[in-house]
Amino acid sequence: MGWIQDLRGKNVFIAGSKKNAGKTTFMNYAARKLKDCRLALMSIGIDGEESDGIFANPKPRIMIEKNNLFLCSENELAASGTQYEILKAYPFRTALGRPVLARALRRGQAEISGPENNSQLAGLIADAREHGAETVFVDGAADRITHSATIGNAVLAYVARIEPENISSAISSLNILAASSECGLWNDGEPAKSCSIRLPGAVTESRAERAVSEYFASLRKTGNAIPGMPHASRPALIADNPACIFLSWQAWRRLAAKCDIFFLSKTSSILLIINLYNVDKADFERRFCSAGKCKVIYNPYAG
Amino acid sequence: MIKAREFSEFETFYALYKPLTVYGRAEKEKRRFFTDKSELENELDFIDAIKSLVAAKAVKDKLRHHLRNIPLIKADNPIESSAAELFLVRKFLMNVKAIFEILPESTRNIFGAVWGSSALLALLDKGGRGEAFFIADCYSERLAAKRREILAADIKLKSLKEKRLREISSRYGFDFSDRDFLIILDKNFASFGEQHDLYAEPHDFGRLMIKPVYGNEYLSLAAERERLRAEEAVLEKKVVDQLIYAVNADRENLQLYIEAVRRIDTAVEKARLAIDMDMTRPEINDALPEISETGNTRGSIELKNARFIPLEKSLQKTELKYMPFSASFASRINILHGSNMGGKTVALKTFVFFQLLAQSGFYVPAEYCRVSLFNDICFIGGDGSASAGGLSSFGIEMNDFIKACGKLEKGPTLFIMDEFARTTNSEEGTALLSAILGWLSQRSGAFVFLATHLAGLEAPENSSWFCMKGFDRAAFGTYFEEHSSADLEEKLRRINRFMCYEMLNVSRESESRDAVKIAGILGVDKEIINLAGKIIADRKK
Repeated sequence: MGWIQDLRGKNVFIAGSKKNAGKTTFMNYAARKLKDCRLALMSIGIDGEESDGIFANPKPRIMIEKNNLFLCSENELAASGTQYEILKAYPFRTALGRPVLARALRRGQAEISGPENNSQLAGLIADAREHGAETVFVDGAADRITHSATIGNAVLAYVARIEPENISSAISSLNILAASSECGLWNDGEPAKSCSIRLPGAVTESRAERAVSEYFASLRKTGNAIPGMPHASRPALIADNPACIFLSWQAWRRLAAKCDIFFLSKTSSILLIINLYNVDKADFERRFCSAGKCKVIYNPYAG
Repeated sequence: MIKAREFSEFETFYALYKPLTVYGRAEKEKRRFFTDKSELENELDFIDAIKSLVAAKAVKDKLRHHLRNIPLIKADNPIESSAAELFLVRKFLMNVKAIFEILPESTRNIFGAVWGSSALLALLDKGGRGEAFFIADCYSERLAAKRREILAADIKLKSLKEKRLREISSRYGFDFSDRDFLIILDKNFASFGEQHDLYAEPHDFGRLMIKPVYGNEYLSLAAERERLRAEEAVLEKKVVDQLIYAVNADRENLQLYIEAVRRIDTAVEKARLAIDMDMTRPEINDALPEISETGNTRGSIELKNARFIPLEKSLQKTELKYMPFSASFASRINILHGSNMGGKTVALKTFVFFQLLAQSGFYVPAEYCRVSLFNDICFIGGDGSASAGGLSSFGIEMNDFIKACGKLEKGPTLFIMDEFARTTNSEEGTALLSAILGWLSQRSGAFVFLATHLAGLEAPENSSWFCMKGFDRAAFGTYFEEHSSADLEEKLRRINRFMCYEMLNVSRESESRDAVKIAGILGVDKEIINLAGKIIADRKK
C-alpha cells in the first residue's frame, strides 16, 4: 500500500477510461486510507450525486471527514450531511451555482463540485492549500486528463474498468498513456528546430499523417534529409499534452516509428488503477504492452 | 475619443492602472472623462487626500491588503438568503472597517467613509473564525440542542459500527476499518456457510463484492440521524434568514461603504501611480485659452517638462534619449511645423495624452501642467491604414472632421490634426486647411493643435505658430562623414542624437528643410541626395 502513502502532499487528479469506471470509488478508497492527512476534495464537473446524470447508475456518495476541506456549490451546501464552515465563496458560477470552499466541522456526506476550466482550478487548489489542505483530490469527469498536465505537483490516477466488451479499446488507451509517460517534455520557449513538427490541438491520425508527410516532402525538396535516415535525424513531433492524442494504439505506433513524440506539458507521475471484470489478469497482461513510467495497481479493493 | 486614445497610446498607461476591488475595476472600465471642473477637482482631491498616506509603505501595504480582500456584494437589491452571502457580507464588513480605521478622520470625511455597522458585524462575528463563517450554535438554542442530538447519534453509530467490524474481523478475518467493501473469491465466501453479518453481490465471474451488515439497531439509528440532520437544516435556514434580515436592514450602510470603497480604491491606485511615476496635480482652467483684442492672454494651456510615458518607457529599453516636452498654448489655433522625424507627432501625442490623463482624473507626469476642459477630443489624421468602408485616407479625414464639427454644438472640442490633407495636392490641401482654420477660429468652443508640412498656410489672426527645433546640422556634419555606413537602428540613433525635439514658439511659418538630410542618413543614394540639394538651390535662385 506504499503507493497510497505516496499520494500525500500531491494534487491527485482522478480520470477514468469511461463513465462509471470507478473514479469516485477510488477517491473514497484513497481518502479513507489517508485519513490522518488533511484532505481537500473537489471535482471537475459534478460528483457525489446519488446516481450519475447520464446512465442513472448508482454512484458512491463522497464522505467528508471532520476537518477535511471540500468544494461544493452554494445550493448543495445546505443539503449536505455535514456541518460546515465557509472558507471562501467564489465570484464565478457553474451550472450548479456559486462554488464554495468549506471545511467539515463534523463527518458527513456531501456533493462535491468544481470549476470548469484550468485557471479556476489552479486558484481553487491554491486556496485549499492556503487553508491547510495537505493532499488535494480532484475527481474528474471521464477522460479528463488535461488538468493534471498543467498543474504542478500532480499525480494522475487513471482508473480503468476492463471488461471483455471493452478490453481492446481500454488497453489501447492504456498503451498510449503508458507510451506517453516515456515521451520527452518539450520546452515551449525553445526555438523550433528544423527537425521539429509542432502539432497544436487534437492529434488525430489524419492530422498527424499529413503533418509528417508534409515535413518529409519538404525535406526531400530541400535535400537536407530523407526518410529512413539514422535515428538522430528523426523529426520531433510536438503535441500539447497526452490528452490531445486521439489515436488508436496502432496509429500511435506508426507515428512513433517515424518521429519522436514530445509534449509541451504532461503529468510526471501516473498511476494506472486497473479494475478487472471477468478478465483474467494474465490475459490482460499479455495484451498490455508496457507500463512505461506508469505504476500499475491491479484490483486495489481485493480482500 | 477612441481615435484620440489610440493615437496617444493612452491605453498603454491605462493598463498600469489596476484598482484592487471589483468596484474599483468596474469604475476603471467606465473610462470616465471629466468635463465638469468641480467634479474633476473633487476626483483630484481624493488623490491628494490619500497620497501622503500611500507614500508610507506600511500603510500602503495594509490598505492594499484589505482592498484586495474585499469581496463583491450586491447591495442595490435585497441580499439573497444563504450562508455564502453571510460569509461575503462579513468579509466585506471586516475589511471595510479595517480600511476605515487606517484612514485619519479628516481623510475618512473626504471619502464619505463613515462606519456604522458595529452591531451587524458583531452579530456576524458570532459565527466567525478568522475570515471563515459558520452557522454557530449560539445563534439558536434549538439548533444547538439538535446538534447535540446528532453528535450523540454519531457517537452511538460509530460505536455500533466498530463493534460490528470487530466481530466480522474476528469471525472472518476481513478488515473493513478503512474501507466500505471488499472483493473476494466466490469460493472463499461459500466456505463461511450461513451468515447474516455480510452482504454479498456478484462482482464478476468468480468474485463477490462484500459489505458489512451493521444490523437493525444501526440502521434505525442512521435513519434517526438523517431525520435529525433534516431538522438541523431547517433550523440552520431559520438562522440564515434572521441574519440576512439584519444584513438587509443595514443595506443603506452597505451601499455607502461600496461607494466609499470605490473612491478609496481608485484614489489609492491613482496615488500609487502618481508616486511611482513622479506625477503632479494638474491645474484646471475655467475656460479655453483666448488672446484678447488688447493682446492679453487668458487661460493658457501649459506643459512644463511633460513626459510622454509610452515613449519614455519604450526608449528606456534602447540607448535613445528621451527629451521631456514643454509648451505654452495661449491661443485656440495652434500650428506646428518642423523637420521630418523631428517629433511633431510626438508633440501632438504628448498633448493629447496629458489632456486625457487630466480629464480622466489622474495626476500627470510633468513638472507643471495646466489644462482646459473639453467635452470631446477628436483626432483627425492618417493612421497609416489604407481605407475604411471604401473611403480613401482623405475621405476618412474629411469624415472625421465633419463628425468633430458636429461635436462643437455640445461644448468645447479639441481638434488634433496630424498632417491633415497630406494625401491631396499641396495647393488644394493648403487652401482647404487655411479655410478650415479660419472657420474654426470663429467657433469659440474649438481648440486646434495641428501639425503640418504644408507651406503657405493662411492662418487667422491670433493663431500661434510653433516649430520643432529640428536637426543640428553643424554638429552632425563632421560625424556623418566619418560614420557613413550603419544599420537602421544605428541610423535612428544618430538622428535621435542630433535632433532637437524641442517646440519653439515662432512668429510665423518657418522653414524646415531637414528631409533631404534625413533621407541621406537613412541610406538614400548620395547622387540622389546631391541632386535634390541642387534642385532646392536652383528654385531659391
